[in-house]
Amino acid sequence: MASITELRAGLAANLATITGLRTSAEIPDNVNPPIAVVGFDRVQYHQAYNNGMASYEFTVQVIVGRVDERNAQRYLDAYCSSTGASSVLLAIESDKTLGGKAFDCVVSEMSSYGSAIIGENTYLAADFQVQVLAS
Amino acid sequence: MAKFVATDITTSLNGSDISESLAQVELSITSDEVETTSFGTANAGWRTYTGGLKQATVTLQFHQDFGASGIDSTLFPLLNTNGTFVIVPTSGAVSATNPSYTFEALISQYNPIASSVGDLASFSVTFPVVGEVTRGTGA
Repeated sequence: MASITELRAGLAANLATITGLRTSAEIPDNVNPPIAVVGFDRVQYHQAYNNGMASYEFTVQVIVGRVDERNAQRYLDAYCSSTGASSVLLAIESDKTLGGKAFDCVVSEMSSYGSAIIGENTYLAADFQVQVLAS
Repeated sequence: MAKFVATDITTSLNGSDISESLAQVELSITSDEVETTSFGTANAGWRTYTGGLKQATVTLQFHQDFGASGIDSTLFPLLNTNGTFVIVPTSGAVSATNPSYTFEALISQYNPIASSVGDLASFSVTFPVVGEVTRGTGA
């Protein structure tokens, strides 16, 4: 039986394999980009009898600085790519058991590529939907 | 037991609890409808029937797992053999209000791969019951 905190930590650990990308397993008050923040959306219980499995949905928001518009987009493009050393998809799915805490995890989509206002600053960000299957 | 939401149906196969690999269980028990309609006016033009032989099938929807002790390693060796199933509405003790259904079924079908891309790997099988289904009440 995995806790949500452990699943968050597992996702953050996988994301930390991307060189230069900071990670936060919880939503921070302030961000220091580039950073991947693990947010938790919902859980669907009782996916098998006897509490055998639940489906957890996380949103990983990758935030990059917007000082240089063009470079910011290029950085974010690399994070959104399905290939390459900066691929968030490949990083998250590099250990699909999240350190042995999950049955499986899959990055289903990237959405909301665009500006994100956090505090008083505007950043460029993209959201990745991640489904985690665990007991 | 009153009306309930099915989250804890307990199913075992040859003594091993397979509940946590299952998303759906259906035990269907039927009897043959043998027609007894006869000439004459006794039935006022309506057909009549009597019960015949009974039979059952069990349909199981599994979450696939190829782990060392996963459901694949349990089911595949049993293909073409009879397995003993026990199904209980909850994991509580078998009783008059939590009856067990025990039967043998022929493991006559297995679909190890039955998934679309991006979906949870699962598969469904239907086995014919061999012989009687017994309903236990723990008495």
